[in-house]
Amino acid sequence: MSTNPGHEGALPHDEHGGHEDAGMKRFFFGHVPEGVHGGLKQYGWLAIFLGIITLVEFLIIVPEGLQGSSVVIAPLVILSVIKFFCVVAFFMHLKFEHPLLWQIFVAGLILGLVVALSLVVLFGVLRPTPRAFSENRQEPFVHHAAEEEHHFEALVIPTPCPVGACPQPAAPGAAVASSPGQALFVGAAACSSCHTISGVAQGVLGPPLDGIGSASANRIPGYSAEEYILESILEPDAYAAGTADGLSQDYDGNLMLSTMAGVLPSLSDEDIEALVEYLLSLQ
Amino acid sequence: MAHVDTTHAPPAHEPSAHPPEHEEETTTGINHRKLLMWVFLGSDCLFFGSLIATYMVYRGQSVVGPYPKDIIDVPITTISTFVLLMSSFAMVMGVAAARNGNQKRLVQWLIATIILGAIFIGFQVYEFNLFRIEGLRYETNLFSSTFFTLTGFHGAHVTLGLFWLLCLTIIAMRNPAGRPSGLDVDIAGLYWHFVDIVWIVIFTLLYLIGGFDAGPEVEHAAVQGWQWITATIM
Amino acid sequence: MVTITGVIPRPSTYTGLWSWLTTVDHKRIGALYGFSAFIFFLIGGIEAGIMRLQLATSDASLVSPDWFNAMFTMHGTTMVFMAIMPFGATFFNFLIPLMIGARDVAFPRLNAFSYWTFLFGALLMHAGFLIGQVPDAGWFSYANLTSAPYSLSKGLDFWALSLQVLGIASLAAGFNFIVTIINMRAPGMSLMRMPVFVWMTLVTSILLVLAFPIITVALIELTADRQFGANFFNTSAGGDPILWQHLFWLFGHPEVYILILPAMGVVSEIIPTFSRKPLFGYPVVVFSGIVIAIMSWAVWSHHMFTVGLGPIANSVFTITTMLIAVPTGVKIFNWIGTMWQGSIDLRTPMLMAIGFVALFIVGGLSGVSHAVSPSDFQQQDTYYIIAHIHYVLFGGAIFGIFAGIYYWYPKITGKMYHEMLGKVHFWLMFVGMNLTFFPMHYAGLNGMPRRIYTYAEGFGWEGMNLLATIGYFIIVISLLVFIHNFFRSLKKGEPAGHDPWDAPTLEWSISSPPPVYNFAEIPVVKGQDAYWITKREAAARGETVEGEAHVDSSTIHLPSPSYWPLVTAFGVAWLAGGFLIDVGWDYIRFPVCFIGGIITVIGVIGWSNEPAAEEHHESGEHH
Repeated sequence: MSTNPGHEGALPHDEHGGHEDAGMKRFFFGHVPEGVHGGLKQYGWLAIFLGIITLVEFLIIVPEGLQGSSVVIAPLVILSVIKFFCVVAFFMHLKFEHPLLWQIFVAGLILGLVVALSLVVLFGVLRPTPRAFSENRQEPFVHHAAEEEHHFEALVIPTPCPVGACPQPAAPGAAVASSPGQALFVGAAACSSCHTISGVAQGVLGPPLDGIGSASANRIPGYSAEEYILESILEPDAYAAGTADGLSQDYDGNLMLSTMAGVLPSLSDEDIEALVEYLLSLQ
Repeated sequence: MAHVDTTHAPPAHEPSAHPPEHEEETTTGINHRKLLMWVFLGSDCLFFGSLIATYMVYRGQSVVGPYPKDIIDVPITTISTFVLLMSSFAMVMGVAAARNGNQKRLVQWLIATIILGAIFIGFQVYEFNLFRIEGLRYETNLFSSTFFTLTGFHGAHVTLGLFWLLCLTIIAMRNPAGRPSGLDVDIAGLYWHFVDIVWIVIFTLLYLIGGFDAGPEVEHAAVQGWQWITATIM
Repeated sequence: MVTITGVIPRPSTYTGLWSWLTTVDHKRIGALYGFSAFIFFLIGGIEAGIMRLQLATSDASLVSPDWFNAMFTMHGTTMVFMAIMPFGATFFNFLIPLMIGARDVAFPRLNAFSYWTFLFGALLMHAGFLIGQVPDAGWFSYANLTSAPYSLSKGLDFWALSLQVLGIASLAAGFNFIVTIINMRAPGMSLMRMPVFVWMTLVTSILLVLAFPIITVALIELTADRQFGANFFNTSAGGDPILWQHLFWLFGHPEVYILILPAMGVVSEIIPTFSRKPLFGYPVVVFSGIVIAIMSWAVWSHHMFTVGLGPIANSVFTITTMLIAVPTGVKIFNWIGTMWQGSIDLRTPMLMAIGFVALFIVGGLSGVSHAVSPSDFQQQDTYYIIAHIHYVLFGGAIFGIFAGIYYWYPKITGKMYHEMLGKVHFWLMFVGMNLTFFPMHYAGLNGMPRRIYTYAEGFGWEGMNLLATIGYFIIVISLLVFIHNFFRSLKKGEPAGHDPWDAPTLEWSISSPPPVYNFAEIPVVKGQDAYWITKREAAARGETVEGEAHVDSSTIHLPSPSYWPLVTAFGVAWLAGGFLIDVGWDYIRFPVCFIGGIITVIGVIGWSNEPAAEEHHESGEHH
C-alpha cells in the first residue's frame, strides 16, 4: 500500500492532469504517487481484461454438468473477487488515494462480508434441529433394571403437586376422550391447560382433579358434589380449594377467575353440564 | 485581544478571496465530499451485505416454484453484466477527461456511460417483466421476494446514478468552462463504480452460482459452502 | 436549474422563526436537537408512567391490554430513537466543532437536513396516535407478530416507515460527524490529542453508519411483507422469523453502544475537570472505546439465546458477550483512577457523572449475568431484563446526558445554573431511579414476565411493582426540579464567564455563549487537554487567560442559511407518509409518494446548485 509523503494542504486533483500516462507496468503494479491516473491505454486494457474474466465466468458454467455444482463455486468466487478488486483499485483509483479511504472502505466491506457470512453460517451450518441434537447425544439403550427407577426420578420434572395427588399412571385406554365432558376438558374449555387428571391431562398450575367427583362431595358443608363443581367452574373465587388440597396459597380462585372469563362465554349450558358430569365421574 | 493561545494561529481566512471552486484545506488533505462518499460507500456495503445475506440465507428454501433454474437466464445477464462493466470503463474515462479539463471528451464519455447504464436498466426491466409473465411475481415465493428486493434495490441505485450523471452532463454541456469540476465527476464516478462492483457480486452469487437452484431439495447454500471449505482444507 | 435557487431569495436573517427554520449553525441545530429530544423524552416518560400506574397494583384496569402494548412499544422506540440518540446528537452538534477548533461541521446543510429529517420522522411516528394506529409489537417488533395477518392496524407501518426516516437522519448525521472529526481538526490536534468525547463521537458515528443500513434492510423486508405481500418472514412460504431477530439485533447491539458511548464520552470529560487531574490512561480509554465498537458486532445473538440457535452459537456468543465486559470495565477503572487522589469538586455534573459510573456498574454486572446463556434462560423476557436495560440506559445514558447538560449549561447559555437545585435534582433522580428499577431485578427473578399488562395477586409481585411506581414519581419530581432550574437559570442565573470549571478542552477558551463564528482565530493545539496547556503556559508567564474577545461576525466567512435542507427533509417524510395512506383505493398512495419524491428531488437540486456560503457581503447585510 502506498504511503503518502507530506499532506500539507489539499492537492486539488482537477488541476493536475499533467502526468497522465504512468506507464502500464507502473500503473498496475508499481508505486504511483497520489494524484496520478491512467488514460485510455491503461483503462482500456483493464476493461478488456474484465470483459475476458466475465466471459470466462460464463464459459465455466456452460457445460451442463457444472451448472449448479459446488465444484465451480471456488473458481467463480475467485474470478469475481479479482474483478471486484480491479474495479476498486483502478477504476475507483483507490490504489492512488490516501490510505485512510482505503481503510474506510475495506472496513465496511469486511464488516458486510462478516455479517453476511455469519448469518449464512448461523442459518445453514449451525442450524440445530432438536432431533439432530438429541441423536448426537443419545446413549445406546442398555436395560439396567436396578437403575431404572432411580433414573426416572432424576428425569421427572418437578411439578407443583402435593404428596398423594401426583399423577398416577394412566388407566389403559383413558387417553381417548371417553365422554363429551372429557373432550371439553382437554379441548374447548381448556381446563387441561392448568388442571391435571391422571392419564388424561397434565396441567401446569391448578390443583389436580383426580377423584374430584368423590372429594368434592363434602368439601363445603351443605353443598352436593354437583353444586360444588358447578360453582367452582362458574365462580372460581367463591371458594379456594387450594389450601384444602395442601397446595400453595398462590393457586387461588382469582387466577382461574380471570382465565375462565375468556372461556366461559364460549361454553353453552349443555357444555357445562357435560363438564360437570364428567368431573363427577372421577371417583 | 488579550488571549495568548492564538498568537501563532493562522489568521482567519479572507473569504471572498476564495474562488468558488476552491476546495477547503482539510486535516488529512482529503476533500470533505470525497471522504463523505467513501464513508457512504463503506456504509452501503452493509446495506447490500444484509440484502445479499438475506438472499443467501433463503437460497433454496422456497416451497413453491418457479425456482431459479426454471427462470434465470444466465447468457442474457452475462451480456448486461458486460454492459455495466463497460459503462464503468466509460465512466473512468470521463473522470480522466474531467481531470484534464477536457470538457468535450467529458460530455462524450458521460453520455456513453449513461447509454450503457440505461441499457443495463433496460435488461433489468426486460428480465423483471419476463419473470412476471412467466409467473414469478414479487409475492410468489421466497426466491422472488429476495431476488426482486436485492436486484431491485441495485437497479434503484443504478437509476439514481443515471440521474446524477445526467445532471452532470447537462451542467457540462451548459457551462463549458470549469463545471462540473474534476472532483464532481470523480465523486459521481465512485458511486457508479460501486454500483458496478455490487453487481459483480450479485451476478456471481445469484446467476452463476445460484441461477441453477431448484426447489427445497437443494442443499443449503451455506452447507454447500461449508463442504467446499472443508474439502479444500482437508 | 440555476433558476430554482434564483426564484426565492436565499434566507439571510439571523433572528426570528425563519432563521431557526433555515439555520445551518451547528450550535442552533444542537439546541433544536436538545429541545426536541427533551420533548420526546417527556413523552416517552409519560408512556412509562401509564405503564407504571397500570402495574402498580394487581388486576388493575387503567388501560386496556392493547393500549398497554402500544405504550411499551412507543416508550422503548421513543426513548431509544427519539430521546437518547438525539440527546447524543445535541452534544455532537454543539460541541464537536468547538472541541476540535472548527467554525462549523463539514456539511452544515446536511446537518440541518439531519435535524429536520429526525423531527419529521419522529412526528410521523407519533402521527399514528392521531388516528389510533399505534405500533404495538414491542420496540424490537419481532416477526411474525408484525406480519399483516397478526397485526391488522397500520401501527407497524407507521413504525417501520418512521424508523426508516429516522435512520436517514442518523446516517446523514453519522457521515457528517465522521468527516468533520477526521478532516476539520485545528492545527496540532492529532487523533491522540482529541478529547475523549470527540473520540467517542467518532466511534459512535462509525457505528451509526455501519449499523443503520442493516435495520434499513430489515425494515424494507418488513414493509415489503406488510405492504406488498413478500415472504421474508412468512413461515408458510419457507421464510424464517428468526432472520428478523438476527437483522434487528445485528443493528440493535451496536445501537446499544451508540446510545451509551456518547454518555461515556461526556463522563470522560467531566471527571477529569472536577478531579483536577488529566484523564487516567487516556490512550486506554480511547482504545477500549474502539474495542467496544468492534466487539459490539460480535455479540448480537445474546439477545436470542432462547430461540434455539444451538449449543455452538450460544457458547460463542456467551464468550464474546462476557469479553465485551472487559473494555467496559477498563473504562470504569480509568474513571475511578482519575478520581483517585484527585481534588474532587462535587458539583452537579460531577455528581451525575459519579452516578453514571455507579449505576452503570450495576447494569453492567446484571448484563454479564445474562451473558451466560444458561442463566439467561431464566431471565429472558422477565423484568430482570427491564431492570438491566434501565440501569444501563437510564442509570447510564440518561445520567451521562444530564451530567453533560449541567456541565455545558454555562457554555451553551452563558448563565450558571442553580447549584442547589441541581443537587436536589441529582439526589431525587438517583433515589427515584434505584427505587424504580432495583425491585425489578427481584420481580423478574420471581418470574414476572415483561410486557404483561397486568398480573393476578398472589405471585408476590405487588410490593415490587408498587415501589417501582413510587420511584417513577420521584423521578418525575426530579425532572420538574430540573425544568424549573433550567428556565429559572436562563432568566436569573449569574453570568457564567467563559471558563467556570477551569476545564481542559477548547470550547471553554471562547466566550459563553459562543459567538456564531466560534473561534475568531483558529487555535493551535499543543497537546492533550489543550486549554489546560494554554492556561498553564500563561500562568508561567504570569498572565491570565481571558475569553476570546468578540469580533465583527461579518468579517468571518460562514456558511449561509438555507431552506433546502428543510424542503428535502419534508419531501423525504412526505414520501414515507404517502405509503401510509390507506383509503381503500390502493393506487392513491403512489401518486402521493411521487409528489414526495418530486419535493425531495427539487430540494436536492436546489441544494446542490446553491453554494455553501453566499458571497461575503450578503451575510453581513442584516445587522
